[in-house]
Amino acid sequence: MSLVDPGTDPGPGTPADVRDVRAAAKSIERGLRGNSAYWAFKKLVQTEALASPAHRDIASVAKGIFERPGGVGQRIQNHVRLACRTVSSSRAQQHPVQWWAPRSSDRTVFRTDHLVLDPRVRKVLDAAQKGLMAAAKKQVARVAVEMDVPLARRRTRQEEAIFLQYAFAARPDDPPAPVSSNSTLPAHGGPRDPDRVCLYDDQDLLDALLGTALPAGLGTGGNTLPPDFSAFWSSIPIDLAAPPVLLEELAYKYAELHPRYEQIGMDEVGFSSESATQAAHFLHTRITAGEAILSRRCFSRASMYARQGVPTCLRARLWDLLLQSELIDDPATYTQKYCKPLKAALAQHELLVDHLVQADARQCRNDDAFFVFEDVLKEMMLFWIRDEWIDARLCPAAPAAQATHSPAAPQPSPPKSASIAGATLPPVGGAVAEGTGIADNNSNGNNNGVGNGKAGSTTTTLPTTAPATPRVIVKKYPPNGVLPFWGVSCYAMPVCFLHADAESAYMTFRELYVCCFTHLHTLQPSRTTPTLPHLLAHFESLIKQYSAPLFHHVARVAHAPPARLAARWIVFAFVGVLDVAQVLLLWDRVLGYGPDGDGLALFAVAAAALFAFREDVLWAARSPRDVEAAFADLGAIEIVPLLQNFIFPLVCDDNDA
Amino acid sequence: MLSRTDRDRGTSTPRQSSTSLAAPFPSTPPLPMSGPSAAVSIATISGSTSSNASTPPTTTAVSTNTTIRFRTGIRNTVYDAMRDRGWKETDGDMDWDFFWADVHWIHETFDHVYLQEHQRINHFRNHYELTRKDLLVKNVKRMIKTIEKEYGKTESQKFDFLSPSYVLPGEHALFTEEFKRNPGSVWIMKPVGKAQGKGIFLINKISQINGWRKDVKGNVRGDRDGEDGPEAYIVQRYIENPLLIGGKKFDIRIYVLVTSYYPLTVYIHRNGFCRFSNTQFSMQAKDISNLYIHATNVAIQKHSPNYLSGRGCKWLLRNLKLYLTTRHGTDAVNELFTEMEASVVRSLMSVQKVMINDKHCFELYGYDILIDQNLKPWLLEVNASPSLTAETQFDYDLKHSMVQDCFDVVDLERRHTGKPIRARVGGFDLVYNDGPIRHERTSNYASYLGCYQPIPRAPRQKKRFGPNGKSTVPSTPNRKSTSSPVISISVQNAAVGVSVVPDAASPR
Repeated sequence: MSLVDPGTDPGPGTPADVRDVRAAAKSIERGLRGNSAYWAFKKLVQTEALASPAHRDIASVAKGIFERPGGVGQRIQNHVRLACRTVSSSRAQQHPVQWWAPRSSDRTVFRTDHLVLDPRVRKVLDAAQKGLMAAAKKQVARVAVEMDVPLARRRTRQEEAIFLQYAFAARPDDPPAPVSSNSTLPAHGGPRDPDRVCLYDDQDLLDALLGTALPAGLGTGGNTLPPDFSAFWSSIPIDLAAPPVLLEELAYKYAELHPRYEQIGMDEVGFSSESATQAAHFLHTRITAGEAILSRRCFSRASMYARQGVPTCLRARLWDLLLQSELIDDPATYTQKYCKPLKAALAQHELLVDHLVQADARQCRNDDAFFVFEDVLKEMMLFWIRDEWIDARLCPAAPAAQATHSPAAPQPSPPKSASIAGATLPPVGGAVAEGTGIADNNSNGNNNGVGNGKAGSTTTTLPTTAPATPRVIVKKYPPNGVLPFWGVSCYAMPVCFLHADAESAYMTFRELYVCCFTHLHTLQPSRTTPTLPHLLAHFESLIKQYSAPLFHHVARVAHAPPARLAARWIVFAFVGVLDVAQVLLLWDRVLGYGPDGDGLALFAVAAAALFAFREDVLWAARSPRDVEAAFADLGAIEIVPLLQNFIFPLVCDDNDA
Repeated sequence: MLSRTDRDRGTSTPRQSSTSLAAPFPSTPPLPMSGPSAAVSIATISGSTSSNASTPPTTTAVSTNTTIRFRTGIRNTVYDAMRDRGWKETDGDMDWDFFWADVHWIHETFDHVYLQEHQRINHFRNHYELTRKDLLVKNVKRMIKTIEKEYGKTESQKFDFLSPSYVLPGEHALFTEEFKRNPGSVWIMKPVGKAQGKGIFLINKISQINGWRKDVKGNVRGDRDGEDGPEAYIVQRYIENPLLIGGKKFDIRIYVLVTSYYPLTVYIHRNGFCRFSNTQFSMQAKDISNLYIHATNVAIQKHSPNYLSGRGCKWLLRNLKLYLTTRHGTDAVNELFTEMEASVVRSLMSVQKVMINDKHCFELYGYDILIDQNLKPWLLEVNASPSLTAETQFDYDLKHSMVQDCFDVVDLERRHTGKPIRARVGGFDLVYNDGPIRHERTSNYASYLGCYQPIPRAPRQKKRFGPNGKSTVPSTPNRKSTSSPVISISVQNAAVGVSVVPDAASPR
């Protein structure tokens, strides 16, 4: 009995594709066999089928159990859909049809035609990303020298014990807060702190993007504008959004945000006595509906539901349904089992990047809402930097058929202790392992366009101590394959509001990271998912459509390129810009519209909406400082009405009249 | 009732107002003030950008015949708030319209002066019935007895918001008995008349306070407070299962404004906040003397090695509400906040009979509430002079706007005399006025506590922050305390004593 019935797979179902889909389903089923939850489910179905009174037709009984709402079938379906989502970029080349895309309507699929790029433009962006990563790698070596910390070090037994005892609590011997009292989260911008130790930050990222230039002779053709004009009319030197998304298109794309539908984020709060009752009623029905979806585990309904916002009390569970790509029978034990080896690995080895992410997590002290979660954040970020799962997801080793196998593996493969055991890198002195320790990624033989260099990981060659077998193990450094940029912990901060403990918060965070946040600080274009350059181009085009004179005024008169401001908001997914409750409401919509498609583009829309909202103040701005001041305090913004006002301006004006 | 919200609307762009109308059915009423708006319908920017941020909220609206003359001995947010309203400071002894007095003045002088019709003062004559820990316990215990006699056990149980407490040395025998009944229990000792965590320590053996009592007797002669006799302590069952967030203990500070005890009129401010300890919570015996774990008073936490200087560790109630709702559901959280509100009102009802009402007086209390893991609120204590000194800009804005709201309620400018009492003034919600304010909230009753209330930028930036606006006195003793794992009481006392003077008691 095969648990994956090709028929249950979502697919376009056109006859030509059927064979393709069947083959894919078969390969997925084969992949699932390595998953313990798969067997647990199989056994469950088996015992239930045997226990049922109708002995005659065991097959149909089993099918009934399998396809029960919220049952095993649904779980597997969700898993397949989500697991494929993250490898979609690499698969796109092999499978032109997105067979994993939701069937509900075409509108839900992110229009990818504007992601198609001139290969030359793509090359330029690839180069920018590579350059950035190379600089970051150099920075790793520099930091190692400056901080006098080796890249990796085996802790002694005693240190290990101390580490485990203190867990992640702040210790008296921790370095003092690296931040001064008037600094804020990185999304606020401002001058860089010279004492800060980081590999690269959002400004470097933006500079790398804005510094790109097309090779000579490319200026006139295809995707690009005449150089003079483009420099005048856009801060992004390359024209990316070939057919721009029209302002009017947004109303069609994000139809569920329409004011005619009740929204969590504005309608659950009443303003007068009658509306308070109404609001309470709305919230109640909304929660009931949400519970029903949760019990049926229906992915597509859940994403439709999230578009109108998720009530706070259901958010943790609903997000898990929308995000959790692993096939898990018992989340609590899975989480524990998963995090235990990560913790052990943490205790055993001290990495240079540990210091970096911890310092990064300490930034939450600068925020009045997140400082509470400092210890939780530290733990989450340390898990993150050690988690090879991230690496497996971001750059799947084997692109085509096996791609679904690796994510399905239930057990994390913690850094093989045998392989690094005792393999301390040479203590950092003058000669850091420049050539040998940090090898260039190009030699990795990873021909997958997206995976290569995107994560910016360095491969470390660690010789094992065992003299008998002098083999060389190539491992990534850091283990998760991502060189952390300054502010990466911002993504984890709002997640702390959803879960009580760091472990379960981490499980949500890692899924969010691979399907959504990683794109926000990536320059390299992807074929299916908008990345930072696309989002910024999207933002610029929206502003220009909204009011070209405004764009001109801000960019040319006030000398503050709008993309620079918006980049900070988008890169940090609005964390530190909006109040945490509003950030969560925005993320609800992002998840609802697909965090790797339309949803991600919503960040650009939100940034444009903020600009439009402050239009009057911006018109009066005469200097970059005025522009900064216009957005100095966005803490009182309510994002849902703001988006509505931007996406559906006509409706709002009609009501006004 | 032109108030802050209306003012903000004035600055809003035309697009903003259309946003409010973009709200789908139920159609948003145009008056955001009129109801439980946990959020203002329009996205308001309380930004420093708006040009009128520097104008005080109310002085411009109505021209009063004379400027209000105030007297005060303190220089903190209250002083700034009064100045920002256009009031003039005066140093005349009795020549004032409003006096923000400290409690010493109340104790020593209030009984000997005659107040004119219009003069107002910020304390009730015998506020200590509520704010001294032993008297609060006494009053609540008496209330429980009365209620039980009149309405039965179920009603009286509602007044069970104080953890079991005994006054020492008076009830020493009773306490010993109770202690023996609960072996291994942990109790907390607090001096009855001191604030800011001074003199607090935890015990888990009865011998620990035997030793302490001797100490006190030895100290009595050197007691320069000049107050009545040896210092009394209250011993209270320690809440061993406090709700933890991020592994840390916290308590909640709520601002409660009582404008009259007869009829009892109570306002509660929405922007309460949580105060965190900076160290992971532990109930282990070795940590029992570590106050950095167990006490959440800012005055103590300031000296913690983990303290984030310049941060202040204040977490708005709305964040707590968001966090708890994700974990415990909307209903449980609503119940919790409503219960907190009810506990505040019940504590005031307990002292209503003994309190001397005076139409010249109002009082702004700082309530300290702890939540345990079963989401039950416990009233820790009530402060007559909650700290209104700001440590950070955020803190300053928060307190400044709260104090402004307070003055709007008290209404010295007499803009609302003769008008019906207002249900909401700024962040203050009327919760009790000679009976619970249930206005149309009877079904799905939910407290407004912790609802969204914008904190406008205060009209001025604080240059320096520290106790009483002076630069912080570097206190040497706290260095000692960091080095020794067990913090002895004496060090603790010294550490706190050096640097912090209670606001109201500070010299002029």
